[in-house]
Amino acid sequence: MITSSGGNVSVTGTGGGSGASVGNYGVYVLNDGQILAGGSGAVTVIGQGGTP
Amino acid sequence: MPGTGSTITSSGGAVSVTGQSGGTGNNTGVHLLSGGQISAGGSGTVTVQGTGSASTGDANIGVFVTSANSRITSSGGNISVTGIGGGSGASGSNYGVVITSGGEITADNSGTVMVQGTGGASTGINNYGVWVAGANGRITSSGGAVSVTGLGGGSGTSNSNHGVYVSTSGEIMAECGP
Repeated sequence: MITSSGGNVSVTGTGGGSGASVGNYGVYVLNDGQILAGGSGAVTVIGQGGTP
Repeated sequence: MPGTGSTITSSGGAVSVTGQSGGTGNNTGVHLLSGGQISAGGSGTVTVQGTGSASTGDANIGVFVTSANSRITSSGGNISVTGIGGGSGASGSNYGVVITSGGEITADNSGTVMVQGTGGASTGINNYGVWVAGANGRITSSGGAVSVTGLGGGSGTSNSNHGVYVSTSGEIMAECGP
């Protein structure tokens, strides 16, 4: 048996800013940006927006 | 580290690079461009830590890997990259870690990749924790785990301080193992 397994991918982002600040994303994937795992790898993405 | 073929490398031992920038603007702790590389052979680990300047100018970046063939690599050892954006006052674009325009962080075989970035705490805009952008801007492994953690910066009325920003064909990826 020949097998392959992809590693896990974990992405965690926390937006910044304070007060009247806007547009502070935890995890932001845009314009063909990619987060990928091959084989049986897991993908975990955790985003927390900024706290005004 | 500008210039094709500029390298910091080992044949199997651990490689550790720490950079603290100074100056008054556009200052990077560890900067790989134009094919500059930090690498370890065999099972050697790679540790890179960069801190941007606290200047009032823009773009005080912790770790910046940009342009084709600029890389932080291992042949199987684990890679750890930590960047802290600087800046002060109204300074902006103080990123923790930036991988763009062909720059790569990649571990071969079963090496893991851990990237941690913290944006600068200035009142300017765009203080991202980790930014992966541009064609072939990538954080990858060949089977090991990939962990990317970003904390956006900014203070006061500062805007667009993302924790992890993947844009314009940037990639975070763990490929299949050997």
